[in-house]
Amino acid sequence: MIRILDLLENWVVGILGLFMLVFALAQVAARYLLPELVAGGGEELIVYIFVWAAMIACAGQVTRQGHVRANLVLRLLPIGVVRFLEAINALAALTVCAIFIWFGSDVVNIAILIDEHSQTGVSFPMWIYYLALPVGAALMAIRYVLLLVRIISEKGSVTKEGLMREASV
Amino acid sequence: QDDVYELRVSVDTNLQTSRTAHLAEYLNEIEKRSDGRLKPTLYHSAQLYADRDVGKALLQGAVEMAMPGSWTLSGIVSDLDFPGLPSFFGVSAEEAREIVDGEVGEIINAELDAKLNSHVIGRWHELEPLHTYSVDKPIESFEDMKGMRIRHPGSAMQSLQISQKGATPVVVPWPDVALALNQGQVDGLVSTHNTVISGKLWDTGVKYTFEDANSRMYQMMLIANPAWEKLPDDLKAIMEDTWEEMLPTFLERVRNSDDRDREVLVENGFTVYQPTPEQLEALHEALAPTEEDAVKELKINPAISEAIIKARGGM
Amino acid sequence: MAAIVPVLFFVLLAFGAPIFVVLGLTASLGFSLNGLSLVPFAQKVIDQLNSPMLLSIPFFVMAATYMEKGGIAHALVEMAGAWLGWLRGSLGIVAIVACVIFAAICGSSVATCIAMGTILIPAMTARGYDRPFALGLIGASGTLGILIPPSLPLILYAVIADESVPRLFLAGVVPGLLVALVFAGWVVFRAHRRGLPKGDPLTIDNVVGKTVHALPALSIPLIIAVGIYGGYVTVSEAAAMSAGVALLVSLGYYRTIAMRDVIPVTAQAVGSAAVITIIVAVALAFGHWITESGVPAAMVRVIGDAGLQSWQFLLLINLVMFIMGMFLEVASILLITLPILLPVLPALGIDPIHFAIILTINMEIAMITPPVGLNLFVLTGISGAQISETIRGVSPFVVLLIIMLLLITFVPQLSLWLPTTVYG
Ligand code: NA
Ligand code: NA
Repeated sequence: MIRILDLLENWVVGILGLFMLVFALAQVAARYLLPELVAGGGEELIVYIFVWAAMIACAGQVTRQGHVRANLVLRLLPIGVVRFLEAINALAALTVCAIFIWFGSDVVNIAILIDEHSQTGVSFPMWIYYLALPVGAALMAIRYVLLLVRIISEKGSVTKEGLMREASV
Repeated sequence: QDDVYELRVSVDTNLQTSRTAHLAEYLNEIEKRSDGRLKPTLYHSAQLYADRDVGKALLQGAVEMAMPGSWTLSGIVSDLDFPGLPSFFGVSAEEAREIVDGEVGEIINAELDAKLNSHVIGRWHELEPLHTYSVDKPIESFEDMKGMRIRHPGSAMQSLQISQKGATPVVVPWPDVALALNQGQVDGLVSTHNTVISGKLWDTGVKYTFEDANSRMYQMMLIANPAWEKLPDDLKAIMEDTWEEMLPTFLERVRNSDDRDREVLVENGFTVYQPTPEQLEALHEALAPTEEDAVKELKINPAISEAIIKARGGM
Repeated sequence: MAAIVPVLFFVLLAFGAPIFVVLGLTASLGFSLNGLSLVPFAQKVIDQLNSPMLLSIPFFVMAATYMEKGGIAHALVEMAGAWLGWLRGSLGIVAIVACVIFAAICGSSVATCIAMGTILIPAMTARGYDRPFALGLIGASGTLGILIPPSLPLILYAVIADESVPRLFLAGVVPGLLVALVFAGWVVFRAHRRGLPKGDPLTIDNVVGKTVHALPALSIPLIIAVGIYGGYVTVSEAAAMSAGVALLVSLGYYRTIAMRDVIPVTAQAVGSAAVITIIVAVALAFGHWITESGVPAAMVRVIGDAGLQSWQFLLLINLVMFIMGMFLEVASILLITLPILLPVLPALGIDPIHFAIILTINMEIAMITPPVGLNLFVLTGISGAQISETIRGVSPFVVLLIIMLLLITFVPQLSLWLPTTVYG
């Protein structure tokens, strides 16, 4: 399970990222080499690919403590308190994920219901794009549950050193 | 009784555009006539929503009213792309008015009601006509457009309209337009006089306009059904009657301001060309055989195509 | 009741909840208090991401990551060092010059900060610069990314204000270079007072060698400049091109990235872009709630009713922007305030292009003022420093930026001269 997540968060994200780069460069090249083939709309697809990649990548950033935050106060508090606050933070994050999963699903359903497409020649079914929000949030939620379990069960899971070397961005 | 009905109203253009200015004027008027029982708050310049997203906001109850451009809702009601049909090409402002006030408007209003759960108040407001503008090469006739790369914001309808004239449509988002023109990435663009002026596009080398009226587009005033149904009949009547009363003045102003805007363009070094009625008619006829393909490509209800053809007395 | 919202905001922020969680929970609560379902909130978040303008962010971050991993930023810094090593405090000057060059490629202050900070902060601390100073210098010079064109906030301004993008871009050039010059002056002053080291002495061999080694790296700003200004591509396409060239040069010339690293490194770049992207999306939804609360509108009405002169108005705006900039992200501030402020400008005789530059410098300050300053978080992340250290380091630069802000506010010609000369 966790191996599948790791795979998804590294390889799928990397491949999607590389694909959007190649796609964008191909689009520039095509505009000069084969202008009659380029009706536009490529940029739109790149946006959808990026948002999917980014939503999946957000889950990976939970494990790496990569989500930007201000941990100044945490560094000043005793470690027992920090551990308690970190559990609260994970719960807060889970709440936001739950909101994105629950209401994001409604967003997807509404788009299917009114059959929303992009207004470009691509006429992309928007629910596929919107689906990135609940799916990404669900992946993130799994990571936050694992994190919460670790914080509660392992005494040494939260350390001052960890806070100091926290890699963000 | 003295219930106050608060209405959040969203529009994505600024107060200098005719649409937003007229909407503001109308909202003031209904607030006055209802003695403050209707209490609208106007959020302009996309403070709350871009037009593209406002349809869903109405449906989800995030705003009560909106006045989006018809072209921005075609992702949900594809029939709104009807101005791209060959049958609608070259229609005069007056002819177009009859068409959208008639059967075509009725069909589309019903669809908006069904899909966005929103009621259309009164007849549609209209955008200044869309023309073609160019940088280095003047466009004096439709022939001149062949092979030119023309920018549009990415709608299927405009893409089709540009191709119909033998030009290559290129999608460039508005923020990149000035750079794209400056750099010769595109040779021209489809826009309105008003937009060209507000973007000071002469800075980027645009100096010719071909007033081909390649599109006529509209804005519709929508109110979410839950908000509409809550209103007592007298307030509903105030909203509809006030709009009908003010609309002729608004439309006249849109047309006059377009004349004034043309003068501003000329003052800034523009040369203005217009197609002759014969050229318009010739292209209209040449495009006629492609009507069926366009209906399919733009996913338009064939009844709309038929209604337009009938209203214009045949293709 | 609505008073809970700011309390929740500050408590979550202080206790280290991720920023997207802080803004997300606060905005959700705000939406609920306004009697809204959270469906429009979720819709707003995902709709905000559906924008081609946003694509510049991942591409610029990819470019920065490849440049950093691929020895490119390193080669640029080495070359600047070879040319400027004879100066006292040379590495500090090198940092500013490198940031200016990078800012001319990149429209984001965060990406400039990441690319330059990753190389220069360790290098500066290794040569005896105290870490807060190094952090502050990169944090502040990084903000030039949004003043020196291309600039994402200026593009956003152009969209909201219906202004011409090239005019706005040109207006940022002179103020950007001025700010860089003032920073350089500060570095020289500090270098002499603290006896900061010189670098390598100026030798022909060294200069030629390092410059030749940097040529493939220098081709990137060149390609971008030709692409955008002489050029043929949009801003996000230019970003994609710089990422593409950076990748090729790193693989083929500097060889610090191997084939098998490409996908993991790309994943890392997308991850960095993702954490910024989700904050931007949630922050815009947060801004939506603030707009609807009517607070900014009321604030501006008060300003209008007070019958202010234009200089009083600008001073007040600077103060308001400074305070908002402490707490909010750049795009949110612009989206919240511009629709309300822009209509006031003509009556006061303020040029909207000049106003854009004033706001951009305010946004630069916002990037480095606590408690919410993206550059602060970024620097803290890449250096492993404490955030308090970073804040201490940037504070003199905040003062310098405020002085420059006042100068540029009251001398409109600094912003308007170049665009007026070019476009009339
Ligand atoms: Na820049
Ligand atoms: Na700040």
